[in-house]
Amino acid sequence: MRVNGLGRWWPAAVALVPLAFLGVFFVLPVAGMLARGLHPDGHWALADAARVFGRPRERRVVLFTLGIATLGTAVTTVLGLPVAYALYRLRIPGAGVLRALVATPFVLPTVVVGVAFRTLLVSSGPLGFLGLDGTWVAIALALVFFNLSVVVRTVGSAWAALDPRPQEAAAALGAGPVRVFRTVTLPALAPTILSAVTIVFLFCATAFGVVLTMGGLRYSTIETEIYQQTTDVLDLRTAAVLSIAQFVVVVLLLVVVERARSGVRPQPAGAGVGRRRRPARQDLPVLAVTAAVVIFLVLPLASLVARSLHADGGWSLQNYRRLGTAGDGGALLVPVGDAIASSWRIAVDATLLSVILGLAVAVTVAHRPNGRSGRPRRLAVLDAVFMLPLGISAVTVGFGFIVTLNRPPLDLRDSQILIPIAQALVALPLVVRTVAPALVGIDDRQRQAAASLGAGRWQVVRTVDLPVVWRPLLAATGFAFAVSLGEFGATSFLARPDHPTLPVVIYQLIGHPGGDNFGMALAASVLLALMTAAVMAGVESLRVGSVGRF
Amino acid sequence: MGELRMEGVSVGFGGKAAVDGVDLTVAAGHTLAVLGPSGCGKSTLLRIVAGLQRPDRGRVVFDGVDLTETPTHRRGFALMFQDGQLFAHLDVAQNVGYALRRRRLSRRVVRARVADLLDLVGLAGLEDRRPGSLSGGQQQRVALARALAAEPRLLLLDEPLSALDATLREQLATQLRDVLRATGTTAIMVTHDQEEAFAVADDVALLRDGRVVQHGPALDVWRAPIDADAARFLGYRTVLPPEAGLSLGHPGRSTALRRNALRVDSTGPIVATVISSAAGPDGVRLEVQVEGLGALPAVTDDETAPPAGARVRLRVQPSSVAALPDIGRSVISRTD
Repeated sequence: MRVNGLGRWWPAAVALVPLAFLGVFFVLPVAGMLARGLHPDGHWALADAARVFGRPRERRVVLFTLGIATLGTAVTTVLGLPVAYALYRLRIPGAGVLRALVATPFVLPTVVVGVAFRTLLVSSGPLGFLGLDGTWVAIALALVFFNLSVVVRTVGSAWAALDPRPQEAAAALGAGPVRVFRTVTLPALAPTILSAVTIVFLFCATAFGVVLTMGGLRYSTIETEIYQQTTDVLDLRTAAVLSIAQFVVVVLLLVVVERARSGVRPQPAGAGVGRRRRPARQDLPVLAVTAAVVIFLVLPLASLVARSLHADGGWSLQNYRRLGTAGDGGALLVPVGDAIASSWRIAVDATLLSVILGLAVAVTVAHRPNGRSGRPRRLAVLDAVFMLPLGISAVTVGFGFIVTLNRPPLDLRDSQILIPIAQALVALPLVVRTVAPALVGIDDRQRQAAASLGAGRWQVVRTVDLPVVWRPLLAATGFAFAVSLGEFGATSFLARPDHPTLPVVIYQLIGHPGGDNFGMALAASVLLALMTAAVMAGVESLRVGSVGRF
Repeated sequence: MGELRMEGVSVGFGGKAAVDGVDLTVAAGHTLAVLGPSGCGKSTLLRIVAGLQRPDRGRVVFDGVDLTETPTHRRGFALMFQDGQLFAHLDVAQNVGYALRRRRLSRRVVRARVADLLDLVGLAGLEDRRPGSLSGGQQQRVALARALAAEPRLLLLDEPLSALDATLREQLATQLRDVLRATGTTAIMVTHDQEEAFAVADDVALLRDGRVVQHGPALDVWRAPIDADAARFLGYRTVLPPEAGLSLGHPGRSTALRRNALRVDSTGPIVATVISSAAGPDGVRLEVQVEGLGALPAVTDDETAPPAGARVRLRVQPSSVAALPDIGRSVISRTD
């Protein structure tokens, strides 16, 4: 009986570590931040708080956030669905390369995306004649650029895995292609589409780096407004109220996602997977949209690389050579090279943390007691809880660290350990989302069979779980590393001026116009993009379907 | 009206022929069972008729009209899958009414028609249920009703009963046959189960490696398999060489015996020694040694099983024995 007792409780024990981590490094800072705003001087100031939304500036910020997120999500979805169809259902040459290309922007650091779009849209840039630099249209375009991969990959892989037989059954009952799509394909994909759309909205509404680098001071979203209020205006109450508003919206959206996900029926084993078919004449509109999207994705990156190789009126590596310096006019305290080194060190720590914790969460979420299929409600809740850091303002977390972790027993304010911890929080949900599906996919009877053949607990793990999980785990490690390298929101708060990371350095360089600082920012952006792209190319070569899907 | 012809239909995958020059005709109102082991190409043949698979060569002709280039949804056929393939997001009534709603019929007409069809398949009153809450047999009957609702010119059945357990299968086979008769629907059913085929179909075509090896009225095929492999696939237990034919009443011919071909009869002409015996639900089954023929199965009506080593006399049941045609006439096609 003792073994049974242990067997029942080990998932809870495994879950305790990440839960404790989440409690100390997420709930505590966020709560501390909120308390500072709503409960200053030992009494509640809710009336003052409510008044925040009456102010025109804040109202404008909230409306702009909702508007830009809705627009970004709508355009992303409208463009993403045909691309998903073309890249996952049609047999077109180079589809593999195109799928990788579409996936790239999602892991590009937000700062890099912002800088890339600016090189394209500034008055001297290739598309400068459009006059879009610094407008909301540019921000919306960057959000679309960033989130297309979420829709394409999530919906595309669901589309590719769709059992073709219901569609054939409908066709055999006399339904034409349009009716088959409307009555069979679309309902089957609807939960996946809803899930992807909600996640995209979440990302659009909480985008930080893109808006900060592209919106300047003209446009701010709730997220950048929280940043402005805490760093420049020092109005903590406004920041706290905005954080709460954002939190409520994020939780609501996560509930929607969870609902949608529970509607995704797992494909029955051995379900026939539709073969990709050769494009036909009626696929022309879809292919045209796909071609346009590919150009849209390549353009900013090509422009970024081209401009970075341009200095002193001609082609040169000047901008890259300057990375050994600290920029002009005291833009930086350390050479960019040092920032690259600290970025790597921090990313290694953050990756270790997030993979260990993420694995623990994945094991707990995937565990089905007594081999029952389906997910118990409390595990669904746990799953959603660990998704929260994805949607909570990274700025809130970063600032929360500073206001709460500054006294014993947790006086970590001056410690560099806070940066990897914050980045691990951001990467954690992605690790869970990558590893958990593989674990859930293992039929528990496989473990029971191994145990009945005499395998001990660790031998079961080694012979049943590990062979399935190691690839997703390795992919998740790379994914976490890439995300840590590019993390900007929380890091911008926590990095000390003498130990900045690469994204922080890029932002500082843009903020100090003059001299060759912008050129250096471009070169640094290219380097950062190359590093994350290289890591993600490695991840991609592992062919783990769950990376970057929601 | 309602005759389907397959003419020289062939298709290959990766250089290997899956369906190889198939010529078959289904008369109006008849049901043809395409019978064969898994991998023989029978499902591919069905997909070709449905228009879900393009043939490399050959034509599919219905009532004299070549449909080879017609897309699936314009053929006026209906296909019923092995596992039903009900639309899980629709309830039973919406599933059955799927093909009806396309015709812009009034809501009332659709509802009445759906109720009639559910009544026909014995599921009256289940309109509001979700497919997931139905048993396997109920799902198959809903799938049948859904296919019939399309009033198909030709109904295609892909192993319609294979996913069900034995009792249910027998029950549904009879029901399926009655429904097909009552509606006068021309149908093609593919299956690997010979009992299913004979329970439902008028005609049977045996398919092997993509080719039709035997085709004719079900009973004829059942009684006169074309060769030893066909005999075994049709449920014959043993095939004896021509030398043994004499004692079984078919001198000089290879003979196929069903499980119950030899019956213990004290006045029977054949003498045998019991090797083993076991009482089963449908009588006592024996394994006997017959001189010159070797070990063979036999049955007895006696309640008690004769012990091993006992001498018994056996009589041949002519209806359970089939003489195989001479080697060389390997393909017989009886399409009348």
